[in-house]
Amino acid sequence: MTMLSRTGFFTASLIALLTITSFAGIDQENKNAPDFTLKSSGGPNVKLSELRGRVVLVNFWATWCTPCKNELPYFNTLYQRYRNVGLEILGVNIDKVPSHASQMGAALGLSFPVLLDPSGKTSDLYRIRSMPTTFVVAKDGTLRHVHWGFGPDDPPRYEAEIHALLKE
Amino acid sequence: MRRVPIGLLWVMLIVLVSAGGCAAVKPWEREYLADKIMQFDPDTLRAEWHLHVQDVLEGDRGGFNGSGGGCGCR
Amino acid sequence: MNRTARVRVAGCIALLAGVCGAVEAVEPPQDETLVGYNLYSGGGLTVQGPALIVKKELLNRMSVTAGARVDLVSSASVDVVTQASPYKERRTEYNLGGTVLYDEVLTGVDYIQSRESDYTSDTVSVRMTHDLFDRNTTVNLHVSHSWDKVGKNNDPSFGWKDFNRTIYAGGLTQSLTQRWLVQVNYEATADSGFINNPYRSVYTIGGGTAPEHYPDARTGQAWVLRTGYGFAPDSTDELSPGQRSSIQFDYRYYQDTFDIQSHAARVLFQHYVGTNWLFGTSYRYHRQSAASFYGDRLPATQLYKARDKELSQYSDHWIGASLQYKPIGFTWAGLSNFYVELSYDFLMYDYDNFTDPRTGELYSLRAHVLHTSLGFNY
Repeated sequence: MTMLSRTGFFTASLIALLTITSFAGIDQENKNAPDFTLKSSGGPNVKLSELRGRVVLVNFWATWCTPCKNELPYFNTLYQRYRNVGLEILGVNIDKVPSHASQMGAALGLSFPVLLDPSGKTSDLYRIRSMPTTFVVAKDGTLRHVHWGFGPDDPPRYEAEIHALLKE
Repeated sequence: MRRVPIGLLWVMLIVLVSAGGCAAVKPWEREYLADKIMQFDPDTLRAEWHLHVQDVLEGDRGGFNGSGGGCGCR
Repeated sequence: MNRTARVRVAGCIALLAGVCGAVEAVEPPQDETLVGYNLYSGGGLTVQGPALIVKKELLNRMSVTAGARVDLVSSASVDVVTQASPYKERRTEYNLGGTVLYDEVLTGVDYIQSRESDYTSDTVSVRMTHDLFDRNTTVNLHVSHSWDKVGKNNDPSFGWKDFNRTIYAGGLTQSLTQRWLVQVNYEATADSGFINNPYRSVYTIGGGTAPEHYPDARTGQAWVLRTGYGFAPDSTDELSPGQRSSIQFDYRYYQDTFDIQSHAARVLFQHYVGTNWLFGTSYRYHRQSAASFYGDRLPATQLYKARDKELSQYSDHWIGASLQYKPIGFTWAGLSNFYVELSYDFLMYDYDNFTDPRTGELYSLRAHVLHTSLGFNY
């Protein structure tokens, strides 16, 4: 085998191997969403389990995450539309410097609570793999859907999920 | 041509993964790595042009094709 | 006519395939447009022209990237003036690519086309990037193939000769700490067909010339190590960015079947000044040994002959600086995240065994590379 065909074989096998092993999802759905208590940028603490009876979007974001900056204004619109019929959105920020979160929240005019998790303990609890990640929690406190990232596909998915869960 | 140390690539792979302790940085700790100045070729057009000039002037080539690091966002 | 620029330029499209429409392993491209202007001037050769890249994110975690670049070449280089006459030419390159993200694997395909009056190139490349261990490790694989055709202006009897290039590349990027990144890359390039320049001649011992003649195959390998480290200040009052300075170091070792061996090392330092300005400075040193059949003056009976200064023994330095301005929060006509960048590099090449036929002295090249670009999200 020539050197180059050995290299080609090596590359091709690696591609095949990586394709097969690429399924590394975390299955957390349909279990109770882990409870947490976090301080909000506005001051008061917020505890997830006290929001039973409402559909809650737990969104993990950071000021240094580009897709997060596209997602937050969308969540703001969603919140204003559905908050009076039972939707809650918690924007859990994981910046090491909490004041960055408050500044960006104010700059974007966010109306939903911005919670601060600078130590990353809540992110660890939810086994966050990437930023942003949003967990959709039903009225009974169970975790129903997970959104990894934010792209053009997500708004219609959120609409459908929220409609269905608000009806429960 | 000289014997190709193709095993060198495997060694580098193993050493790096071991040295990194696999998951040294949590996804919510990537603030520094997300910064543009921590990317190896942050401005695509400029990096392309420099590589192009080197290809025109030099007899050797290749190797600067990787990606990785970054904010870990989707 | 000198074809140093053109043979190398078109024949190396496959190398650029990995960079054209390159995406971060861990993030699909944002809806972004980059528009720029490039300039190279030195050794009697000037190449300049515009470049454009447009990236768009689609549904189902797919994205598409399209780009174009025009190189306007004006050449009166040492080979051109001693073996032919100065010329002007235009080379146009288009590229189109797409990526799809599934779980932690990003797969991309690119097509690149380059056209000029005596050289055509078509390249297809496939890339795969896989994030492992909470995105601490990124594996990159890349394969590309180029189908090139080499022609000769003003000589229809030359016809079109085939030149093919295949590239296999693999690499691994690892976050060692929150501020320290390391990357290793390996790349093998296999060329076959008409490799040399149809216009260049060699000088033979005893006076006289003969056409260049290269072997019809060439395989090269490059090993690259890159590392980057960030410095953060103690006070972080600004909204962003978190990092204030970074230093990067690259090293490449290359060897091939022409017996060329080279080393290249580069240092890059970047520093934010306030929140809107980013300053960068870099230095690169490169040293290459000659191809086994290269010579300033060769025996006429030698089978393979080259007098391309790119295949000679030489060393070079690149010294560069760049400045970027990013107005935070500025939007215009629905466009946002603007930035403007300007960079300048000064190049010094000193050849150990290539002489300037006009002077009989060893040749030295001094050149300037300029780039400016504007980027924004839409």
